[in-house]
Amino acid sequence: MDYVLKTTNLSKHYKNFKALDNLTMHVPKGSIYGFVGRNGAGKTTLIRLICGLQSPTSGDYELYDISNTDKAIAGSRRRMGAVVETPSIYLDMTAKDNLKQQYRILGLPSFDGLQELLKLVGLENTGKKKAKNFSLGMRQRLGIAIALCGNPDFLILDEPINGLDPQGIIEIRELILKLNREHKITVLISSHILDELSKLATHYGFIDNGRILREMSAQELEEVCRKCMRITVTNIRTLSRVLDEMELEYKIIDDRTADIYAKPNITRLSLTLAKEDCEVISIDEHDESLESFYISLVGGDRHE
Amino acid sequence: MSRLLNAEFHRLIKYKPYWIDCIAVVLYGIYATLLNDFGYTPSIDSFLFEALPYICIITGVVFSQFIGEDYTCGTIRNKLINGHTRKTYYLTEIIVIFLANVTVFNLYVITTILAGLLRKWEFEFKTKVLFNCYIACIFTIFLITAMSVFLIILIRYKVAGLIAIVSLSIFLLIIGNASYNKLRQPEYRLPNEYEIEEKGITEPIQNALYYGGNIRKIYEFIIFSDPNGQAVYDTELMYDKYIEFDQSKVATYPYIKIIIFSILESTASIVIGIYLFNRKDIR
Repeated sequence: MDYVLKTTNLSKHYKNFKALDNLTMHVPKGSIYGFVGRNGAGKTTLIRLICGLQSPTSGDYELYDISNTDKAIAGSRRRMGAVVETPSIYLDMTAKDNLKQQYRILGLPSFDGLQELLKLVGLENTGKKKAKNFSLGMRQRLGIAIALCGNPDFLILDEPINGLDPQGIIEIRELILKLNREHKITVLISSHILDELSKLATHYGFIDNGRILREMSAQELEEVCRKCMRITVTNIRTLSRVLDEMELEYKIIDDRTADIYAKPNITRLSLTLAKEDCEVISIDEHDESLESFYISLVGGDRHE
Repeated sequence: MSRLLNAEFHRLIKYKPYWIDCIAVVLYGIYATLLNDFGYTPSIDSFLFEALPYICIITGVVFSQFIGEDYTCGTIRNKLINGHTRKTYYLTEIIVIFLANVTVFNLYVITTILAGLLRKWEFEFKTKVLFNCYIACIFTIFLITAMSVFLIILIRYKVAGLIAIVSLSIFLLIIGNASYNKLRQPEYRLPNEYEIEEKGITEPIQNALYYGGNIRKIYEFIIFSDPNGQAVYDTELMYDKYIEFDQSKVATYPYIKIIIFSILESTASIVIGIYLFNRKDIR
C-alpha cells in the first residue's frame, strides 16, 4: 500500500510533558484518515510537527517518502495543504484577496482557478465582505480554500467542525467528501467527534496520551462494531458445528463464547444444542458502538 | 524568497497603518518647515534627517502589528507549511520593513527639501557631507529594522510586541539624547561676563562639563551602539554644526563609525534572531 505519511516512533516533549510518545502511524494514499482522540491526546501536536511548525524531540516521519531530516521535505510540504486549529486567514482581507495572497506565497504565475476555488467552498458570492465579518463556517471554508491553493494532493484538517452549527458541519463534510472522491485528495482529519468522523473516514487512527492505540480501516471498524448475539455455552465445538449446519456467520471468542452475526431462531438453536448435550449458559445482544469501542480502547475510567 | 517578498510587499501596500505613517511623516515635514516662523533663515540641512528618531518609535508601532498579524491570524503557518524556511521568512520581513522605513525617511527628506526650496532656503553643507550623512542614516534605519524585527518575531504577540518595542525605543532615545548631550560639550568655552569682569579672563577656558578620556569613549560607545542614539547623533549633529557655523567639525563626522556599528549590530541581531526563531515552536 502507498502511504502519503508515515511516522516512526515520533515523540515531542515539552519540559516534563510528553505530548507525543513514540507515535507510529500510516496514512494510506487516497484515504480519509480519521485521527481520533480526546482533547489533549496529541492530535494537534502531531499535525504541527508534520507541517514543520515544530520539531520532533525524537523519531521521524516521511511525507511522500521524504524523511523530515531531508532538506527536500520543504518540497514535499508544497504538495500538502493544512488548516491547523483555526483557519489561517487575514481578517481584514476579502476571501478573494486572501486567496490571491496565498497564490503569491506559493509563487503561482497567475490567479487562474481562484474563482473555481471560491465556488468549490461556496464563497463565490462574498464580494467585498471582509473575512472578519464571516461566520465561523465561512472562515473554516476559506481556510480550506487557502489550503487547497496550488492543488495539493494531501490535506490536513485539524478539528474542522469545532464550533460549527449543524448546517456548517454538513457543508464541511460534503466538501471533504467531494475533495476526496472527485479531486482524489488524501485527507487527514483530526477530531474528537466520533459520530461525525464515522460518516467520512475510510481509515482510523486512535490516539491517546500521545500514542497510537490502534490503526484500522473503516471496514475493520465496522466489523468490530457489528451487531451480534454473544452466546456462552458448555461446548464450543458443538456450537461451532451447529452454527455451520445452520449456515450462520460467527466468530469464536474463547473456549465457551462466540459471537453470531445474525438473528438466529433462539428456540431452534437452543433445542439443537440441547440434543447435542451442549448447555446454553447465556445469550445476550452485543452491540459495540464506535464510541464504546473507542472508550474500550482508551480505558473508560480515564475518558473525559 | 522572491515569492514571499512579492506576497509581503502586496500586503504592505494594502496595510493602512503604513499609509498613515507615510502621510504623517509628510505632514510633519510640512509642519516643521513651512508652518514655522523661525525669526531667521535656517538652512535646509538642519531639517533633512529629523525624521530618524520618529522612525525609531513608529517602526515599533506600525510593524509590530504588521508581523504580529501573521501570528494572531495564524497566517505565518501558511508561509511555513508551503515550504518557506524560517530564515527566508525572517529575512523577508527585514527587507520589507527596511524598504518601508527608507521610503518613509525619503518622503520626509523630499518634503523638507521641497519646502525649503519653496521658502528659498539654501543648503549649508557640501553635497558630499550630506550624502555621507544620508548613507549613515540608511544604515541606522537598517539597524533599527533589524532590532525591531528581532523583538517582534521573538515576542510574537501584537500588543506585547508593541509595548516592548515602543518602551525600548523611548528608553534608547532618552539614553541616546543624554549621551549626545554629554558629548556635544566643547572642550574649551568662552568666559562668561562674570569671569571677564571679576576675574579678568579673556581667553577660552577649560569646559568643566566636557568629558574626555575613557568616559568620553564609553559615551561614544553607548551612542554608536544604540540605534536611537545613532539617530539622535545623525539628526542633532547636522543641526548643531549649522548653529555653530563650524564646517570643520563636520569633516570629522563619524559616519564610518556609525556604519560599522550598524553593520556589526544588525548582523549579530539577524544571526541570533534566525537561530532563536529556528528553535521556536509555532502554534
